[in-house]
Amino acid sequence: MSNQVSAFIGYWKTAWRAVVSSTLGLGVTLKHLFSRPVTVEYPKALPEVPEGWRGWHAYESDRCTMCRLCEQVCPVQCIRLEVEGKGRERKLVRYEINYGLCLFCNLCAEVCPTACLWMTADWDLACYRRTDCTIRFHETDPNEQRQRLWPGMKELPARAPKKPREAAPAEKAQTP
Amino acid sequence: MPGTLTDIINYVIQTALGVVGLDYARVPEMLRIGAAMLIACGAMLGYVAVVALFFGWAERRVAGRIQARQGPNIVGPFGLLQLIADAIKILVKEDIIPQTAHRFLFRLAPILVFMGAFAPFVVLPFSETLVVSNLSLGVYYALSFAALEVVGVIMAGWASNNKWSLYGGMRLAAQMMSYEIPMGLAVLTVAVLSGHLNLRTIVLDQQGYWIFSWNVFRGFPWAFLAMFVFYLAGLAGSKRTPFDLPEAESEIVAGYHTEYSGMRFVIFYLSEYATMYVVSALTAVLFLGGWHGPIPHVLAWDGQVHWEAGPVLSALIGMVNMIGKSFFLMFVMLWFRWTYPRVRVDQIVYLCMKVLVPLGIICLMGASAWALVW
Amino acid sequence: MVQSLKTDEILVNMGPQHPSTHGVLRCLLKTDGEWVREVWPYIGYLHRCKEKIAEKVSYIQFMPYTDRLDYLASANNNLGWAMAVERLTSIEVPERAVWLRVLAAELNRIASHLLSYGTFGMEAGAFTPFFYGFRERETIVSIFDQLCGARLTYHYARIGGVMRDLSPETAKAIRRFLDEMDRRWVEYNTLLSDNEIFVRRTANVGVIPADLAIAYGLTGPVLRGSGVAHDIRKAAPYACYPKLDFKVCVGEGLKGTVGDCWDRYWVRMLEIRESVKICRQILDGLPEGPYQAKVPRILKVLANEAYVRTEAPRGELGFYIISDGTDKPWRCRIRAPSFCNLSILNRIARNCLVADVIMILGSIDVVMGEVDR
Repeated sequence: MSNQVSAFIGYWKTAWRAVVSSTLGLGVTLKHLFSRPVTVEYPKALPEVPEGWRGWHAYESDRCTMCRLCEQVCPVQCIRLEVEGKGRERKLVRYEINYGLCLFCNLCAEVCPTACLWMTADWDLACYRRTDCTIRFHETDPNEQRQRLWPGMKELPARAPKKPREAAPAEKAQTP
Repeated sequence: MPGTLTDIINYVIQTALGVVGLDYARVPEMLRIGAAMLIACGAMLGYVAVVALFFGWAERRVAGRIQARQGPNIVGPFGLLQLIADAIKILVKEDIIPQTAHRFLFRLAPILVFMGAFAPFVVLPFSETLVVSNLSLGVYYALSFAALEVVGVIMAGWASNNKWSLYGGMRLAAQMMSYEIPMGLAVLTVAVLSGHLNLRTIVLDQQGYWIFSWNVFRGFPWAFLAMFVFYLAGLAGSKRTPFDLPEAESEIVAGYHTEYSGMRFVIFYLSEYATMYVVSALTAVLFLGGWHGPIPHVLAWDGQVHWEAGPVLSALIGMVNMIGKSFFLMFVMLWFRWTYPRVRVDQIVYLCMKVLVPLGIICLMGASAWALVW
Repeated sequence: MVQSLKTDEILVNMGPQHPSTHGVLRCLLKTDGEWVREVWPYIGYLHRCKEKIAEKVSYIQFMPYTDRLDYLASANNNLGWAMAVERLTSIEVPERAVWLRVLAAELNRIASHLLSYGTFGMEAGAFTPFFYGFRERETIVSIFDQLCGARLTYHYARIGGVMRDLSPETAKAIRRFLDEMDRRWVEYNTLLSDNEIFVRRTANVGVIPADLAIAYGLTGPVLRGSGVAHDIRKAAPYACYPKLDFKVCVGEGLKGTVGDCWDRYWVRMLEIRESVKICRQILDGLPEGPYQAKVPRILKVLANEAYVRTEAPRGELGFYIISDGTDKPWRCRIRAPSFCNLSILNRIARNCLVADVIMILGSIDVVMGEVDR
């Protein structure tokens, strides 16, 4: 008998809880219905990318000593470097990064002794063909290449040309 | 004054033919009625399409705003044309029928589903005059045709030859069959209170005294409770969250329309919104005073409250009231959908058999006592 | 009467392409109508040979790969790997780096649990919690943007330190987020945790008794949901956790039995709050100093072995490394919490409804990247 009574009370308790919790839930969604969306409309408004974003690489061949450290440290071997000549006559003939493989781990930038390779805040890396994933840094300015790969694509908002860092942060920490 | 929409159409045709010197009365009566019905149904079909398109947009927009997103806002003002763009896209899609599906039933199912969803529109009154067919058993006509949908959905689930589809079909069958009962009980409550089954008469009955003559307040508390019973049962009947088990995405992929694509999928989509509209409109008609607004039609200069206006004006006002109420109830459905989780298959039957049916019976008994006392 | 009805059992294939199998898990269900008699999970659709890769790349190079184990908790994986290698090589990590790593790990725990909240709601049929969870997760992801420059595969911890120091702006952003999280947490509960439909869906479903949970080697919120207060952060403290004040959240069976789906879900929700607390403490007590120790470029370790276990959002994450004196591990074994937790699915998802299987799977919260590795 008491079982039945408690079941009866439980029934009404549940019903009451259901009504109250459902109404409160509706309140939450109603509040959001009249608040501003948090999303941005992507092609119109570009996301803000902070400094130090790990995106597209930038490479300065003038400062490169062709030490191949970046090539060695890369976990996926996506950096390809070809050097001609010996000693002082060394000349860089090829510096490619295959973004189809790249992990964007920043290890190459950290290991670079002259900071001639660093990662930029350029995040729009999509391309149409698999071959386009490989960027030949020895040929042209990578940003120009990007425009070439994206015919008809809107120009990305101009970013201030980034000064090469004095040394990668990891290096800096080690020096003192 | 003409009685129903068909009469109005007949009247218009007659006048138009009269202008060119033809006597419409000489056309056989069957033809006349047929033509008028056809035109009226065409108008309704157009209305269904517009409602479905609008709510297809509204659903996405409401969902977007509730979820702190934008929702469709690119195509047209406020993204209103998005659904037209989607419709065009979907119409030109390839019509795929799975190789192992039962081709005939697979094709027939969407038609049946849509028929069940569309047929009740015929008896929905938009105003005193704007009703396609003034059936004296209107409520039960609507409810019985809504039940036809089950057949189509089971057919779709079976013919797809997909286990998930079959689950969806079976779930809907269980769900709709059980929810017919509380729905019927709620309707009976109103029928007892007003003494009619004709939707037009039920609304006419609720005229006067601001909102207090509406069934929901007139039959307080029985009709008030019955409204919730009816609305919840209707929610289950139109497969909306929290009762969207037949198409539960996270459980059974897409339920009975997993294998459908293109035009056939759109028909399911359309009939879902049509059913939603039917449930909302029936709730408005049965409980919320139908085309009667919360304020009198005309506040005359003599300080008296008039509930009557000219035929055209009253038809217009009635339409606005009716559509406004239905749209609000539909919005509540959208709101529910983006708030609540889904109930489980045993809970849906529990809710029906142990909550809504007893409540419906109590409402019916209470309303009967009310009717006996007064 | 019901027994006399002749019914047939059918085998249904749930996944690998199913909306709620968390990626590419394939479950074979033996169903009798809506009843599920047995579930067999089949894994391996996301196998990427992580353990074998570890043998081919150096210790430093494997760090970005650990991001991709449990891709929802990269920072925690980084922490585990870094600690394992540091134990192997006896590198002293600067105090600040340790705290920063834990900060990243706890932020990532919040992000991971938020995602779990969202997907669990979605599996229950409520779409909106998913978006709310993702909204706050997005804030965390933006913080990681500033912290390490990536949004999913953070690669924040390095051998002997962290990648970058915490800037004052980022610290401010984290504080802002933590304050917002406190507000949102209440909202989440109103929307989903306390909703009666949700409670009915999850309470008393998929109950894992404490002894069964221990017997199956479950860890993380799945174990704590069963009422066992076992947290590596407390049981075997590592990093700076001994200095932090937080408590281990356990399921108490508030809405039903101890160890049901709701308890597991609730433990995650409580852990979000605990992690918020931890993050605040870290921001307050962050020691000054260098953030990176001196580590040779080519890390050669003596022939040795090390096992390090950490508390990842999904449970005990262990890295077992055997080195042979070269710069590459001879063998690396990863004890993935999701993999062990998934093993209980077959045991508890019996004689329940199809919808319950989804909820149980959601409450175990597996990440296939970690299960298959």
